[in-house]
Amino acid sequence: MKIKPRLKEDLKKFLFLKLGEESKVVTLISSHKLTNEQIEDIKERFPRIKNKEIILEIKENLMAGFILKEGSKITDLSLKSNLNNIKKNIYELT
Amino acid sequence: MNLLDKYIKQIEKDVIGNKGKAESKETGILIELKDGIAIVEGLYNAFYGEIVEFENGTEGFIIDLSEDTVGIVVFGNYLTLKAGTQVKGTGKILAIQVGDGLIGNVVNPLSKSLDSKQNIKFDKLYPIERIAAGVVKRQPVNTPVQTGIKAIDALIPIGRGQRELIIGDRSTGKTTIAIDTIINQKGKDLICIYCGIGQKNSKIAAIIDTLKINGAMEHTIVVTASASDPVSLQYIAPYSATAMGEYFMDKGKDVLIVYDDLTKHAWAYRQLSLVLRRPAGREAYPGDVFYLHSRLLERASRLNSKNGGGSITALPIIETLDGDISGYIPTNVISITDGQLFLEADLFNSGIRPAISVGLSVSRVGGKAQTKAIKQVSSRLKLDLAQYRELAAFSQFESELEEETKKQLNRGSKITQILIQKKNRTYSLGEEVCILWTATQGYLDDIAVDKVLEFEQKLLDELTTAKGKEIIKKINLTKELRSDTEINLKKLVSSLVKN
Repeated sequence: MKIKPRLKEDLKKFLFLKLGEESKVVTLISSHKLTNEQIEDIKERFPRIKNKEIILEIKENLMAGFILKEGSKITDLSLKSNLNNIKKNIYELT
Repeated sequence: MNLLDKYIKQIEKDVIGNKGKAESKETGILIELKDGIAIVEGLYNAFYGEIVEFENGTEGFIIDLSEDTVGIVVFGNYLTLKAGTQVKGTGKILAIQVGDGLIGNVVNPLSKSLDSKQNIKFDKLYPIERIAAGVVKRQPVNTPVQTGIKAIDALIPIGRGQRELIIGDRSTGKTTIAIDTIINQKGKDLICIYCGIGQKNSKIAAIIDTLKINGAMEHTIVVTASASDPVSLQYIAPYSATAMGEYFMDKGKDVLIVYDDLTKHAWAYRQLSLVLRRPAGREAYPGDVFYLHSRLLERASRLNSKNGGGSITALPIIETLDGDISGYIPTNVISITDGQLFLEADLFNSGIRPAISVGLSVSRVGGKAQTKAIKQVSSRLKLDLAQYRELAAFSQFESELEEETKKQLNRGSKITQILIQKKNRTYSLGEEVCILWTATQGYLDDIAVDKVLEFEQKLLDELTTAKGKEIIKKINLTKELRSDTEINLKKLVSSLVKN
């Protein structure tokens, strides 16, 4: 079966649109609900997300801190990952 | 307690060192897990060969980049991974730790110690895959690798920086030749690396034992990814062994690497490729199976003095089925290497060991590297053997032979006998020269075929006496057979023949 070229074009347009939207969105995962002030503070420190839409998510198992997700890029500043790092360090040393 | 304090201090240092830094990492989600291969969505900015880390600490490296997924080869146990696991890119290319501390150790392809010896001292990180040295950096082969095996040193010499394939059926003594060569390097300036790929653990244990008994572990590194290790480790084993070799080569040292064996390496790569759904070609090998071995063996080289003058000599091993050297992988590797040692099952079974088929074995560059002493005796040897082979083929049909022909046949059979050698018994240059000289001068012609080995032993005993020692010492020192030494040798041998 051949895909019609018109259909292909439409699909491409749709994908571009979606990718564009995705790159405008940033996910901010935190352990507790963040206040507006805190979000502003985070934006201040990460200038590249200033003009992007922020989706807030709450994951309690992070314990403290937050994770910033931009596409496939992740900035992990949670207590959980820090503890994991320490765990790994101990393993490597022994 | 002291140790614990040290650990705590180190951990504190590591933790404080990372404070205040916000690192962004590439991540993806594991969506599919096949035999040793993980397919991951995400990691959009990852690069080929990058090391990635799974949530549970397992590592892997990227081998396949498609439009929206990446294929990752998992090191270690992949069975504990789950779908949905987060995968982090580390931004590092696959590299292993190398250093002088590796010598004398048994390690896996990620240079982790496999025996009781912990805390190997490392010096540097070396990438597993590296482009081979270019033409400008190289010089021709000019120094020999003394294998200590009479047949090889005389007829198919190997030079430092050469790639000589050892090919033959199963159990025809391929590994034995390689191990004997390593054993003979004791006390010489050649670092040896034995790389086992997909071998049985029992075989590796036996090899380590042999090396230890013969005192050869002091200059040897054993790198092994056995048959029970994941295919990913088997795939990278020869490359990481070469990376270790390159560390020493860059320091101006000479290195010998044995790849045992590349047939199994090709199988490992075939498995990876098929699981990754790459198109299969002949015998289901992927299209780049030639490049797989050519890029590996091209890294064997002899650098010129401007670049340190180090070298890597490669002894790849290939196992054939039923003596068929026209298979896919054998022909590939034959065309890549600078010659091959072909071992025949028939010769092996008739007691001619090492079972080297002189007619089918060649060394394309080793002749230039031969020492003068060996050259003096081997040219005659080669001629005698070539004539013998020619005559032996059709003399079976004729009953009446000329006197001259009979003589040549006799000489040839004696030379064939004198090239027989027990395993793990290597000869010094002086011993080799004396024995081969005796054979080419015709002293063996009047000795019965089954008495030749006995005579050789007598000659070797004689060479350990005061008079004989002097001869050996002189040849080993000057690396040539001078006329005065030759006269002494002649006296010694002819008195022995008379008795």
